[in-house]
Amino acid sequence: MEQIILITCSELRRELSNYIENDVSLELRARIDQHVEVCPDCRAIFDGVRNLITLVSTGELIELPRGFSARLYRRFTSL
Amino acid sequence: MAQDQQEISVAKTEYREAYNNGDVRCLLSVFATGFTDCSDGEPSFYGSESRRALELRASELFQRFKVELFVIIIDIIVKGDFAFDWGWHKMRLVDKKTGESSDTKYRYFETWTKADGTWKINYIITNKEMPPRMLPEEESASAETATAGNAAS
Repeated sequence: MEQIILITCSELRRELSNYIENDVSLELRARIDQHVEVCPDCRAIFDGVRNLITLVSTGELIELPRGFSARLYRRFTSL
Repeated sequence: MAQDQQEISVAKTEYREAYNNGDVRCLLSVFATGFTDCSDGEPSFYGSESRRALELRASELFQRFKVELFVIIIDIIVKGDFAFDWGWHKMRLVDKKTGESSDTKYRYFETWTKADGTWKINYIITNKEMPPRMLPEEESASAETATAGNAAS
């Protein structure tokens, strides 16, 4: 089996949006997939960006939990 | 990615594969002559001793265990013919006799030197990663947020 060359966290983060937009080579995709599998920090960023894109692209309105506005306001005023 | 960083990534991949294949010769080939070895749980070795010490240690390790090494490189910085990188080594050891396995995560820092057009590890230091722990001020802030959240709902 061919070895998948390692990729650094910093390079992965530079390529993340290209990866999500499917604009990377198969080789780079494999390197990113391998890295995300073992790196919890990059996986968290990866999941966050992907969730954000999904959220924005669906255009749906989200119902906020009860008391959210009051808690948010309190946090703002306490800064 | 810059050419030198790519070459170091390839060398680091060979390092990983050497562990995963139990290949002592391949492992040694990634290190410069007379490198410095400050690996976790070992005395420091310098000069010609470091190569022999690594050879003995790796041979013993590969004889007893099947190694699965996962490498996370945070970044590689290149300054001419000198470079350094840092990250984690996640090592799973599977005992060849009993099948028992253990996982250890190490932090590592390495320096690299380019000699005859090839990047080699010139210095390596590793130590065991510890479980995450909140600082006291973060703990109290977290408790306050939880209390405020409970009161509001």
